[in-house]
Amino acid sequence: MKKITLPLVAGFIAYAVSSCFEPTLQEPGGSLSDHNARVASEEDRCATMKVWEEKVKENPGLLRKMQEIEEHTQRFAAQKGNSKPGGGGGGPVSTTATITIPVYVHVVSNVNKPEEDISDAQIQSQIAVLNADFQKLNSDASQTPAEFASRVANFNIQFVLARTIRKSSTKTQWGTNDAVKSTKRGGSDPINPETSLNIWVCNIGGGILGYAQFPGGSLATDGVVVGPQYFGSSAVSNNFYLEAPYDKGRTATHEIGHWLNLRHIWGDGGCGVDDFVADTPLAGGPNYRCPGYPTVGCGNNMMTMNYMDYTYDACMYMFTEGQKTRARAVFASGGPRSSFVTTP
Amino acid sequence: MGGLFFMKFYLLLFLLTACSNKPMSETIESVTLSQQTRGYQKVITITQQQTQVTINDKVYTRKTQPQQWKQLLENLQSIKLANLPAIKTSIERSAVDAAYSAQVTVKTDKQAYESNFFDHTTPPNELANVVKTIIASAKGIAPEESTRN
Repeated sequence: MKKITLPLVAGFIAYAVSSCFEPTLQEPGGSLSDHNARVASEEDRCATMKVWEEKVKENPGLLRKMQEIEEHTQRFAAQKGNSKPGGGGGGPVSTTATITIPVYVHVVSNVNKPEEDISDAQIQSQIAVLNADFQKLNSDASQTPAEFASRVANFNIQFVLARTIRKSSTKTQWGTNDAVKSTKRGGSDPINPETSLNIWVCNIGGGILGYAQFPGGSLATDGVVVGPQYFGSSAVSNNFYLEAPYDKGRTATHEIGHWLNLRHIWGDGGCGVDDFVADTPLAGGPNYRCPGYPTVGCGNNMMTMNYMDYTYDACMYMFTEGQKTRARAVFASGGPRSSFVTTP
Repeated sequence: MGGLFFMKFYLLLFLLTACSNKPMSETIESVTLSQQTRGYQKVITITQQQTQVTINDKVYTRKTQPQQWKQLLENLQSIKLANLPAIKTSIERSAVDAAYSAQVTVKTDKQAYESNFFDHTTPPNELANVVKTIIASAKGIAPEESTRN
């Protein structure tokens, strides 16, 4: 989509908190707050800035951090190409050097559902999908329409399983309130979240396949959560506990995309809302099932095969170069996950 | 010259009159609440006659209770439909898939009005009662809860 300016970033964040203290409805878990990155009129922007200023006063830590991350991302994108591993002074990490991420997988299963205690092989099949998808080694990338082929990105990010933690629980579903990330609340505490990705595999419930946390949040809850029947790939074995059409490991790819600061392809709003990435076409909302090409919306062909859309696993198979820049900015010096990268 | 002046005067008078006219009244035909995430879509559409719940591709219907339709119209009275797309919303949780992405659509005999997307757990204040009424009206229609496509 379009390039953004910092005032608009502030607007994005201001909308993010504009209804933080409103009443809640019950359904699967969830807490408060948010954003709506509209391409606003000048008047809207003025109002937005006022809201932003007020909210910064109320919660300076978190909101300033979000603003800083966006500013950092913009600087990184501007400097891209002058690469030096580890960078310096907010500079870029190399676009070619592979970033290796240790992964801790916490399998939290229900005592009466042994199938939720997924096998080591199923976990490894998921790690393999991540390594393919984040290094453009997935064979289905070849299906990318010619219009988008030059934008398909190799993130140069590698995932290595550090350890699997297994725990059983009487809980049948965990919702999205992060209880699964806390030993005290019956789940399992994250391990080394400042240098590692933690993934919790548990039944979330409510039809939610997985959820994530953007960079900049609390380390105590940093990572992604995925349901056991959506974690791993049936391409490796039909004996895994998996449920089609979300059985190819793309739920974790999508959620880790969020963990790397990627927004949904439609920017979580209508055609005028930005996902902060220049080379993803406009979309007015999510696409579902398995759309054909071209699928037209917002006056262009939508990139329904992007991992950050809502299509079936088999129908998503690419990230873009713009998304790569945004994701790798997270690891650059001054970025929210710079501690994952050791400067040589 | 004088003729031109009067023409301009009448044109101005016409424009002022046109601008000051009250907007034509609209009749609300249906109200929809959609709630969706990857792998799950629930859409509730209420008309005066019927309440329809679609969960993924399964459709369930029931006759709309007159008092529920009345309640819905009352809830909507406090909202200027033209302002519906301008209501600020919260999407922090749905942006990372931790809540459904929800949206309210009101169709009248003239056009459709859509809200911004919002986290289903935190509808904006302006829409909170509308959302509550829609959910209450649809209660019990669908066997809770088919979640697969």
